[in-house]
Amino acid sequence: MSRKLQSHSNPSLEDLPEELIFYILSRLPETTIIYCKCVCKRLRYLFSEIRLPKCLLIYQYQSMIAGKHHPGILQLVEIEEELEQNHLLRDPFMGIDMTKLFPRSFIFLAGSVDGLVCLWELTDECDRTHICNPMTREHMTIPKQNIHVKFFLNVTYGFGVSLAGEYKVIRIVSRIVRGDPVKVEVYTLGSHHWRNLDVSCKLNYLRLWDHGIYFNGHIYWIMGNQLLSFNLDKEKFQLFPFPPPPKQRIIGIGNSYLGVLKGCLCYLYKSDNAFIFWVMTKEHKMKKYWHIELDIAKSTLEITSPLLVTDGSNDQSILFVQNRENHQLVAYCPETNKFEDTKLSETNFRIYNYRPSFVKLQNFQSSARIHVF
Amino acid sequence: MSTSSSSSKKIVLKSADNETFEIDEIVALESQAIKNMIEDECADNVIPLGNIDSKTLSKIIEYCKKHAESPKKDDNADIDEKAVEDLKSFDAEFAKVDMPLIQDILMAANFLNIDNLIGLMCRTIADRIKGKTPEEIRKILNINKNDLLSPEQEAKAREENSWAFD
Repeated sequence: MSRKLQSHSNPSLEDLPEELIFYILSRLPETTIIYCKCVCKRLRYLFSEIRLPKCLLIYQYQSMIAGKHHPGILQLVEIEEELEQNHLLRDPFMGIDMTKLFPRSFIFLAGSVDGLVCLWELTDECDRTHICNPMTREHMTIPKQNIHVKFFLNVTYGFGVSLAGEYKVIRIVSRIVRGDPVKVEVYTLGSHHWRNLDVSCKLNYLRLWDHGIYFNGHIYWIMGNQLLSFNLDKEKFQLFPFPPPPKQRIIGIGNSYLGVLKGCLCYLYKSDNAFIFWVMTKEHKMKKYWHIELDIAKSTLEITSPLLVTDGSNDQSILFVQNRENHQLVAYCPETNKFEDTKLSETNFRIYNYRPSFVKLQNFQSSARIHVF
Repeated sequence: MSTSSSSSKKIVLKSADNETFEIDEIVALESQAIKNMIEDECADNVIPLGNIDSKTLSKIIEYCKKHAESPKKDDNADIDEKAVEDLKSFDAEFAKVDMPLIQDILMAANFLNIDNLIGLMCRTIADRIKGKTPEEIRKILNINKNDLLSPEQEAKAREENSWAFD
């Protein structure tokens, strides 16, 4: 740690140790951080090392069931560290209106990793996948996949990075015709084609509109009462049992969710009278070990549906729930028992953990095919 | 600057401009660096702080006194809300000083290792530049002419994230 101190004469940012500058920058909205980049030489130099704050991507959109082709708005929300509690900071400049990028399409947020976002565009005529970086405002369309669909319930996506550093999009397609086997395709960013993948285990009962959660080199989905994992390095699926649900209740739709909590994969289960958060503490010889990390009485979160559970600052957790009556999106902190209104309300939300980055899409595709918005 | 209580142990701090400040040991212990010195018994009666001037040092002592007097969070789980609020408003008032002094306090707090004060000063700086343009940020942070980017470097920096400058 630098202990260099100058006398009072003319203190300047130049004299501050790096870690203090990073601390200051970490408290700024993204746009101000970008402005800081051209403030002076030191900040310009440090910029390459800036770790941007932990954020969330919130995608708000109208119900597709209504039949209107209307893409939504992608919001970047920062989890700001307050003294005692989390605070959500919405950078007003960071809202991306998908209507401008994809007029008259359904746009689904299919996943996010390392600052990159995978978007699925679906209309009557097209079924395409895009990768975008909201920080550099670049987006590109990846090559066409082999199997096309017309209905959103036919597909579930996963997007992640293998431990070897390859970014991969995975698409699981089923039910085009009843009884058809499930088909899986994988695309590695930077390559020219999607690859068909042989699937050894049965992929029935996948919640197809629920895109996978990326965690530590794997993508996870809920499949009935089992956890489906996809190893992005080996490109293999595996099935694991979930921790035993209370009584023999069937794990119904809308009663179980995946997330990342305390740095572990988290399985949120809604029982008759409580929200129970299981975290996967370790894996050993193909067996996964779970323990209950949190338990919230259902009465606390009456008439709400959980959307995402994630780590906040100061070792606290954040549970995003949507009020089913007024559609408000609310952040609940179990540790402090406090609610924070996000001031967002829309029929539908998708929320993803997001680590902003300045990863350039030129790393994967020639710049001629990259659009800046 | 002396305090009323005579029973407690005293520590004397000496600033760069040779002004001495006698304070209660408990106040001095807010600084992790001084705490370590005392624990290692390498502190004499007088601790010289050759890189902190008296103006900055008196502000720092003001801060440490207030924080030493306030009940600590981990002492008592149900610490009264009023004390917390009181400390918050003290911090807010404390930070209402000009930028050069804030930077001096931050440097000194970093040297003395006073975590809460480092945090307060960093947050204050962040709050002052939040939402400002590069030109305004330069002014607020008092950036030296020699440290500015060349016009070409600045144009390149702007181009990399051109959307933010619209």
